[in-house]
Order: sequence, then structure tokens, then C-alpha cells
Amino acid sequence: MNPITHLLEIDRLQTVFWNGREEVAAIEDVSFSLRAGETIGIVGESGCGKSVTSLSIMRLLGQNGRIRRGEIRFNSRNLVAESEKELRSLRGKEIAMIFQEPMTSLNPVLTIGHQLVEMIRCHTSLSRREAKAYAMEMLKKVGLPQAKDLMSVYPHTLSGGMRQRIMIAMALSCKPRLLIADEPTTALDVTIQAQILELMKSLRKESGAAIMLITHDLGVVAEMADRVVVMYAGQIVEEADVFTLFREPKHPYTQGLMASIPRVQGENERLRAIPGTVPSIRKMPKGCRFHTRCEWAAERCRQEQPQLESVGGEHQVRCWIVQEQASPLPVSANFQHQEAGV
Amino acid sequence: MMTASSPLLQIEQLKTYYPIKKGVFSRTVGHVKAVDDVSLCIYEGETLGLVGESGCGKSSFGRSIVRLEDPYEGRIWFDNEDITSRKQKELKRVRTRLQIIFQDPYASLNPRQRVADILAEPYIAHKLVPRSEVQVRVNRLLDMVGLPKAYKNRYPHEFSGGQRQRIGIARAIAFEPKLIVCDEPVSALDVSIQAQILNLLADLQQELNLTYLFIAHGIGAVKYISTRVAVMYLGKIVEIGDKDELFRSPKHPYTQILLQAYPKPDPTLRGDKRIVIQGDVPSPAHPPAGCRFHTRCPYVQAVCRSEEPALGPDAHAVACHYPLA
Repeated sequence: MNPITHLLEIDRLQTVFWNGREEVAAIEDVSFSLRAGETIGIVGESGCGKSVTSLSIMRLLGQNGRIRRGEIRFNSRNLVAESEKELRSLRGKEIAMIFQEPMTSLNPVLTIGHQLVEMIRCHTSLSRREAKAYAMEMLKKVGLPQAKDLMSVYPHTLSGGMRQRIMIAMALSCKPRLLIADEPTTALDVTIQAQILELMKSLRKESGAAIMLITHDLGVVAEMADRVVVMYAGQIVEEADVFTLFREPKHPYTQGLMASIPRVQGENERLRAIPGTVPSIRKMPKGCRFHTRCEWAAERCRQEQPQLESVGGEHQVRCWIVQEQASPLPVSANFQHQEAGV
Repeated sequence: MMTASSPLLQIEQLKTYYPIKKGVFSRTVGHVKAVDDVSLCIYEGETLGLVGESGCGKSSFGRSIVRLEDPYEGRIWFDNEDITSRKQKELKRVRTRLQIIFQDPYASLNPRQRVADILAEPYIAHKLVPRSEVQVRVNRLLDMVGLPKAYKNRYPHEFSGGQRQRIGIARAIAFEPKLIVCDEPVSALDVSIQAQILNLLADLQQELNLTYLFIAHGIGAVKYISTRVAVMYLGKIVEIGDKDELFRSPKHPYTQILLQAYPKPDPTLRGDKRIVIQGDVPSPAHPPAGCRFHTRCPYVQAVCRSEEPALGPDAHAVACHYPLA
């Protein structure tokens, strides 16, 4: 085993939801790990299970959801086995989360100051006055110099960018070791998105928190992540460090995703769209879940489900075609190139 | 791309204002100036991309063109006809040639109608096609947008986002219009589906010789589909020009910042310097005096605060006192 212990290890996680008749699996066989201070990007399209993965870590699955199988080890504790009470003390303090829509995650009838102070006092032993001073300090840190005035205003009076800054201030106020950011800039305009990404980068350097960044935007991942996990239909299909993934995407789905982004730089060729649509979680195709949309699909892909396997170093792919190509020649030119590049 | 000498659509000093009403008598106390004095032309066969951030007035502009909003001032010439003050009845005739596709295809389709009925509606409403031929036309539309005929009897909720957008497009091309306003047609869709829809729009343009006004905040999509691009900020066009030229050498500071702010899908470009502008877009009810961008512009000078720069008549025009080289 690796002597460097991981901050977070997710092992063969399966989360299911009750739909009134049966339990359907939203994510299946999800395993990855995160070192302290590292940023991992989780990419995929809507419904691929990227948000369910993060909500499972926080165990915010509602009444119909539960973790059926697998382990979530945070700091060597298995969160799946912890009681609700123990998780409560962890949420916000050790693991904090920011969401896509900051309006719905702030309480509209309480002032910004009230919400920040409540959060800080819940997890620390600071007095009301100290907590207030600390809250203002946090607001300044996230680029809101008018902190004093902001403490007494309500969320609706603020712009989307300011609300997201406040969410970040709140999330980082208890110095969490892991920050889960679920589409943190998706609802924002590009110039505001650039501001928030810059802010997250500088705070990451300062706090040393690990970040799990969930997004559908490959641009944001390229900008922020150290490692990337690509999800499709509830499973991880590829995992690699960010440079390897963008230079040599291996899974046909990852390749398709990359080919379907219109480039701002360079020439415009016709976009290579992935045909078809994502299968429903209730009717997953047999075999590889991507085979219905894959141009390389062979007989084996339609019958047997591939596993996530290494194709060199930490680059893992769930695809029969890629694995079969890689296995007879484990030290191919490709592989050496990758090793040199990392 | 062909460029006819006379524009298909000509907009002259268009203003679209929304009144702000207050008090018991709902007195108008001011206006939100969503579109403020915009003039531009769209030529036959081209795609004009319109980019800008939320609240800049790009959707109000698109809706004003198809007369879903009534302009406060200004003129709209479409196909050599002044449609600025056409009444609803007269507009009906115009709209066979002038159509719009919306961002959220779910909200723009009647949930209680089957696809076959949704697509038959234009033919029945305009009475331009004999009843007996309607179903043939509907089948042809489905075929053109790549939906299987077997889906005819389904309801909108049974489709995915991308398929719904195909239905929205099919409805818009029912009479082979000349101009289609595409208002954020791919913003609500996943990346892989966005590419499908963009390709479909490009194919239909070729096939039917369509002209598009393509409104979006996603710069990549605009770059892909447009011939020319206009950049809008707080109700005004700040820069307009040929796509390649505008992307290669933006002249307005806002355009430059917008292009840089977009995160590139390439981790090796990470270290690249870029200007991050501070602050938010000011309210369009009280736009700043002088140049509207001066409150956020990194190159602001004294004159920018007092005098409003005009958009020149050039092919690559910019509204800035100190355009970038």
C-alpha cells in the first residue's frame, strides 16, 4: 500500500434511490481517492452520478437514497458506518460544500451575518463577538471589502457572484480539510466565473484544503484540477492526471466529449458529436454502458461489462477496446510517452 | 458565404425599454433600458452571433426583432418591409418568414400536445397547406431534424433536452423561413448534445439557405456557428465584426476580457496571464454615464467617464475611445 495515506478513499461505492417501486442504482462501483491538498475534477454530463457521489460523501441523500455497498474512508474513518450525529459534527467542519445555485443554499430570511456567525459558532468555541469579527475577516478574504455592511443584509440584495463568494467564505470558515464544490461557477457569467476561479485558486494555496470539483465544463477542469475522473451513466470510465487526460484521452466517451467542445482558438471543423443520448438508470444497457453510443463497440462490449483498469501508471480506463490494445504490449511507445510527460 | 447588397434585416436605433412601476397608481418612475440604441444589419445567408453576459439585453433584442416585445423607439426592417409597428394580424404573415427558437425547449412546447400536433399547428394556423397534406409535412419535418417518425405520438416530457430542442427547431422551419432568431438554443444542453444541435443548425442553414441571429453567452458555440459576431454590454453593441478578425484581434477591452475569461479546455494554457475584471455589471435601469464599461474597464481614462463612444460604420466597428491595437 501507499505509505502516503489518502485523505479520502472511496471504495466500490453504490448508492441507490427508491423510486416508489424498486431501488435503482444512481452510481455503481465508484472508487477513487484524494490526497491532502489535491484537487480532483469530476466531469460528466447531467445524470452521470457526479453529484450523487458528492452527496453520498456528505450523506445528504434524502429519505429515498441510501448507500447500499462500498466504503467512504475519510481520514481513516469509514463514513458509511458513522452515525448521523457524528456526521453532523463533520459536515461544515471537516468537509464543507458549495453548490451551484448560491441563492437556494442561503437562507433568504436571515442576514448574511447571522448565517455566518451561526455556522462558525456551531463548530468552534468562539464567543458571539469573536465569531462576528472572524466572519468579517472571512468576508474580506473572499474579496468582499465592505464586510461590515454585508453582515446586516439579506441574500436577495446581492448578485450571484457575491452570493457565491459568501458561500465560499462560509465553507472555508471552519478550515475544512476537504471542500466539495458542486458546479460552483455554472450559474455565473464568464467574467464572474473567472473571478471565482481565481479566488478558489488563491484560497486553495492559503488553506491547503483538498478540493473535489464537480463540473460538466472541461474548461474549468483544465484550469483547476490536478487529477480528473470522468463519469458516464453512474460509473467512472476514465481517471488520469489532468495533463495526460487532455493530451491522451483514451475512453471513447472522453474522446467524444473533448471533440464536441467548440474551440475558441484555432480553426472550426465540424463538431464530432456523440450520437444518441445517455441511457436511463432504470434500463442500463448490458455490457459496457457506453456501447450504445460508441463507434468502436464490438461483440464483447455488448455482452460483458469492462472494469476500470490501469493502462499505464495512474491512468485508468473502463473500456475493452483500450484494455485489449494495451495488454499485449504493456510498455508501448504510448506508455513511455505518458511516463515522461507526467 | 453569400452577402447580398441589401440586408435581410436592418435595425435602426432600436430601443427596448421596460417600465418600472411604483406606487398605488403604478406610475412609471423609470425604465430598464434593456436595448438602448442598437443599429445593425443581418445579410442573407449569414449567421450573426450575439454574445454578452446575462442582463446585457441580448435576449430582449432577439425578442424585439420577432416583435415579441414592442420596441420603445427605432425601426425594424425585415425583407424590405418595415415591421416596427405591424399589428398582430399582419405579423402573422411576416412570421412565416421570421422565426425564433428558445433556450428552454420544454417551456416552449405545450406539454399536453403530442409532437404530431405541435408540428401540425403552424400549417393549420396559417392555412397555407391543405389539411390532407399536413401529416406528410409533419413527417418531413421530423425527418429533417433527425427524429424518428415513430415518436410522432409522444408528448414533450417523453423526450430528452436535445430531442425537445429538435422539436423546437422543426416547428421553426415549418415554412422554410428566411431568418431564425436562435435565443441560447444550446445553453441548457449537455456538451455532447450541444454539438449535435449545433451541427443540425449548420446543416439546415445549408439546406434551406437560412439566416441566423445566434444569441448565446457560450463563446465557443458562437465562434463555431457565426459568420460575424456582435458583442453586447449593458444594452449597447460595443464591437461588431467578422468572426475570425474579432476573435484574433478584439478591439474593445470588454471583448478582450470576455475572450480571456472563458476557461480553455487545455491544462497547458493554465499559466497564461489574463485580466480578471472586478465587480458586477451595473443595473440597466441606471447605466453609468459616458462609456458604459468604464466602471470595470482596466484602461479607463477621464474622457470615458463623461463621453459616450459611438460605434463606427466600419466592417469591424468598435465603440471605444481607446480601441486596442
